[in-house]
Amino acid sequence: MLEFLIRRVAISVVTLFVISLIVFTGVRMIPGDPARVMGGTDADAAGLAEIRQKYGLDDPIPLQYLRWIGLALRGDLGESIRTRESVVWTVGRKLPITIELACLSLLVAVAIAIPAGVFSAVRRNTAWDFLVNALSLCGLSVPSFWLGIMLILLLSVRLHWLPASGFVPPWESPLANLERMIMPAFVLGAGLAAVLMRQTRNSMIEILGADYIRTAWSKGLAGRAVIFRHAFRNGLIPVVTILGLQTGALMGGAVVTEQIFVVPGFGRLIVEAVFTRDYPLVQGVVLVTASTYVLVNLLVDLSYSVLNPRIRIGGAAGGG
Amino acid sequence: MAAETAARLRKRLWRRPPAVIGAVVVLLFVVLALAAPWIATSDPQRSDYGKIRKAPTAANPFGTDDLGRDIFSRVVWGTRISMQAGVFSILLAIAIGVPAGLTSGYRRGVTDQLIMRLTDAWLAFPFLILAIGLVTIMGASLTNATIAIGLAATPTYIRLTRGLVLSTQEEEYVQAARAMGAGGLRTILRHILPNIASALLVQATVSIPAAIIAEAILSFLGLGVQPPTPSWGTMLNTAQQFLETAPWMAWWPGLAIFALTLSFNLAGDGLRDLLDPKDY
Repeated sequence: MLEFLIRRVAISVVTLFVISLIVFTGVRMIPGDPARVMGGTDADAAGLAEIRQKYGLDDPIPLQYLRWIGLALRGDLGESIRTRESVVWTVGRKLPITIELACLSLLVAVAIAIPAGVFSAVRRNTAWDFLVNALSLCGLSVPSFWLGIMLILLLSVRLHWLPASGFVPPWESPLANLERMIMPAFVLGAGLAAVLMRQTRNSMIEILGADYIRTAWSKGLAGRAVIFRHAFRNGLIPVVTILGLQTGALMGGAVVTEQIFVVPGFGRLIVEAVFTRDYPLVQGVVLVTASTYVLVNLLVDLSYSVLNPRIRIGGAAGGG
Repeated sequence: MAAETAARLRKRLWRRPPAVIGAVVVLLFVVLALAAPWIATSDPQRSDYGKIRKAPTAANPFGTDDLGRDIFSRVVWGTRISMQAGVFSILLAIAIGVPAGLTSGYRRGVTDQLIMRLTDAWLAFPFLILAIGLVTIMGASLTNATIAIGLAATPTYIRLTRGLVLSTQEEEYVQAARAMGAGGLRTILRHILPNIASALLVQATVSIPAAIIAEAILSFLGLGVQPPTPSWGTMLNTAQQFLETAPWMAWWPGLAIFALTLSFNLAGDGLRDLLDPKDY
């Protein structure tokens, strides 16, 4: 167990290191002189030299990397070129909004997908199963930003039920916050629900055919007890994996969703940063996103061992 | 023997009407993309200020946009952009990912560790955010968006190929080939690659619709195809400003993306069933 933990953590650390290398190299590959970007168009030669001096842009690349990563580890990702605010502070201000959006969409996805997936596995090959499959296929195929636009068209423009865009902090008015978040959360959650539905259905079908489930049935246990006490818990393991792997999709999806519904979160921040060529901000945002993904998946892997003790042994012996 | 197999395949295919419909619709889109100049006879970039934001009519079956351009023509020409971006980006991902995965799975050891750690890190960047980052570095255009999507999709192919190689290597026919003295490259090309090709093909039917959506998103955000070139993503971007007065501007490009990705997924599901003998 301990060996598995250490191995898993070590791999994550290496991955984070490679991520930092990729981000650092990526930003250095952007055409143009960073000093000129920071100094603006009216900076003269002396001004540029001063900026180079200040940020150590003339130092050897490995030294620049070490300085950057050293600062990053201490929570300093530099400052935004446009606003002069610290990148960490800007990200910290925007992130909670996106986390709220992500949690709500996760809730939407789980609330739709798990019951639908279990139901369609139990009623395998019936009309219900077919309907669930069709819905999941549509959810996988529909472009989320179009779904968002269509929802605005129906619920805001036509029916005037919900405001089309904007954001109200939950502490100002929880109801107004929810009114504005429910559509984006549904749009972001729909794709995830589709993936989860399939996964839940498939793993439940597999589990329901297993020997120990047949034993449970033959012991005369009631249908509900077998499905929920025995099958559901094990059927959930692959679902948790998928949830971890989908964190990235959620964060990527947030970019588009926030753009459509004008939610001032992390996703809008990255698009703004790209358009204003605010490289330190782009660099910081991408680094935070990738690191979050690695950490979430580390947690997911570790949570397996709670859900299913057998995996500890398999994980320690196998590996890649 | 071959005829018998073909007949059996046909029989299995006809048992899945959705897959057949999906494949047919994908083919229709291919035809639409190739024959765009003959199908959409009015110029997709010609503005007509007398026909700004007009609802669908016989002359403009999908209506007109904010510059009085024919939306039908723009949707048809947009098929080219989407198909191009979807297919070429995944070809790029395969061209890099499959050789890397083959090397990683076949050589094992240090090479494997190096490639896999790089893949892990690469996979940690959300697909879309990686593509956005790459477009920032390279500049916004259709070609760069295609390259960015391809690079973002590459690690999936490295992982998949490596996994397939590892499981295929244990098969007796591969062991036999090695025992008979077949070299590394020969074993890979003659024995391993043909046996994992179908799994890669199935993956492509999943990746291409994802790449098509990614291109539409990048163009929607202004990071892909630049106006006035007709692309479904840029069309939806403009449409969002006119939802109250001209909702048809938002219907058609989105419907086109939906129809194309849904058909790809249906065809892909069918293909997976067809190629997976377990489910026979």
